[in-house]
Amino acid sequence: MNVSHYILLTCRSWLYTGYARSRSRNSKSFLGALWPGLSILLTVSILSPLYSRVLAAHSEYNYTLYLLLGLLYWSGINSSISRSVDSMAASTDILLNTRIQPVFYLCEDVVYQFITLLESTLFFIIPFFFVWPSLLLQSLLISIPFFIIYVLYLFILQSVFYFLIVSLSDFRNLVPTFLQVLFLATPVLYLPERLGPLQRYLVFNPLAPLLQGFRDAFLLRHFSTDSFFISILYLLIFVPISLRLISKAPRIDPGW
Amino acid sequence: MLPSITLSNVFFEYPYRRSLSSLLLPRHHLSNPRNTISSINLTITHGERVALLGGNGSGKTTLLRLISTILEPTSGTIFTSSPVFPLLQQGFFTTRELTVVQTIRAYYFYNKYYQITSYHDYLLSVLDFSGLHEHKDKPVKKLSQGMSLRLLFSILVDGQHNILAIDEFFGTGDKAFFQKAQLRLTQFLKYSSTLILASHSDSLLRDFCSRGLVMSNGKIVFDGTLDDALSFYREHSA
Repeated sequence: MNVSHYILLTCRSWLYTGYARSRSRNSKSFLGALWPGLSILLTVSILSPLYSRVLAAHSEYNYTLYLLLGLLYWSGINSSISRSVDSMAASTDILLNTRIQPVFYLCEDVVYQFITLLESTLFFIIPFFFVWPSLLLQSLLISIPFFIIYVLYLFILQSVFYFLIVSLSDFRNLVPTFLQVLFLATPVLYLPERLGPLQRYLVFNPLAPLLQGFRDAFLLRHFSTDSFFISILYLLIFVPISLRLISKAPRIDPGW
Repeated sequence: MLPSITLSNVFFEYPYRRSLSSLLLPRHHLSNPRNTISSINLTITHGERVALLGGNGSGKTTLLRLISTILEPTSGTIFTSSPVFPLLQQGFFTTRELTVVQTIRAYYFYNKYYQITSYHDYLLSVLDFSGLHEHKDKPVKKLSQGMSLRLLFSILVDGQHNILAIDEFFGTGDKAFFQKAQLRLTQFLKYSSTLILASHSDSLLRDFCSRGLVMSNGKIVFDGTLDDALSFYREHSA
């Protein structure tokens, strides 16, 4: 059975297990679903006063909101890549003894990360919704295509990293380095304009245009067609590649 | 009789353990492939019940994985007349963070039981059989090992499957549950028309199988009646 067919056939199951995992995480503490949002709020409140002076002087954006969106965006990417190392190791026995395919766990994790992103986003949006309901609604509507692209990006990242981790036993040692480089190469903290002439190279980082699309939607209420089409182009290239990689990925031998 | 399963010249080896550094090394510097299956030719006809015997590491589980299409052979072909239901795992496919009810629901969706029964009926049947009504909202990781096995057994040993591939079945909790489980397992095995059962329990094999295969070092070294296979295995493993 090919991977796309398997994804569709099992979608009710991985949608449910991803959702159930997020519910089970939330049930562990009184603050539950508020935790991801709270941790980002804490980070922003510490970093914003500091970095706004260094990285964002004379910007058209409100740097606190700029940073907030960057960190919300990055948290899903970061967790997806980090978890692709651990969650696969945890399911090795099942992968070797049932017909469940690795892509099942990737899809489950994408659902889990997406729910976490929604919870964090709602944590910030709901209070402001009472103040500027129409503005926020407009931003949310504009950002819907970018949310969909984001979900597919999470899938691509998980697939590529999963393939590398199961194919090369020592690749996992490089994952923290990759994450660090990716974080610094993506304008999460800094404004692209601060890069000067190097700014044009950001287009080669698939994560940068998508982040810009989100920021334009929420901060300027503007649908960035450039960001949208560049992101779609990346999807057209990487979705088939990631499906191919995941179908070729070996099942891990537990004895390794 | 029509064949249910046919293996023609099947070879299998687990992939080499590659690493970034090994990409630079010639192939002979890589670790050796393990658990290989070599030159297996086998036909199991419809309705046959086959016992798989062999010591640890002889290749029984790998052969069951191949027959169940979990693994693909390195070379050779495997034909099965209908999908083989594997009963090889000893754990849940879901994280143990999920509650008992959530775990049952995940299996309900994965096995597509919604096509044949309502979720409520399925949930009740699993909870009734496993006797876990009082623990249904507990995460699976907080269940005792016995309770966990009861739940797993109740979920997996269910339904009817044409061809079954079963590996060394697990213990099933306390005495009271054990008797109930034996009855369920007996019915479950009877419903299948073709069975491949790997076990070290002579009585279980005698109850359900008539043909025996003995494996050693990834090869079938004996193929005959169950009694002859058991004798062969005892002689050669002594």
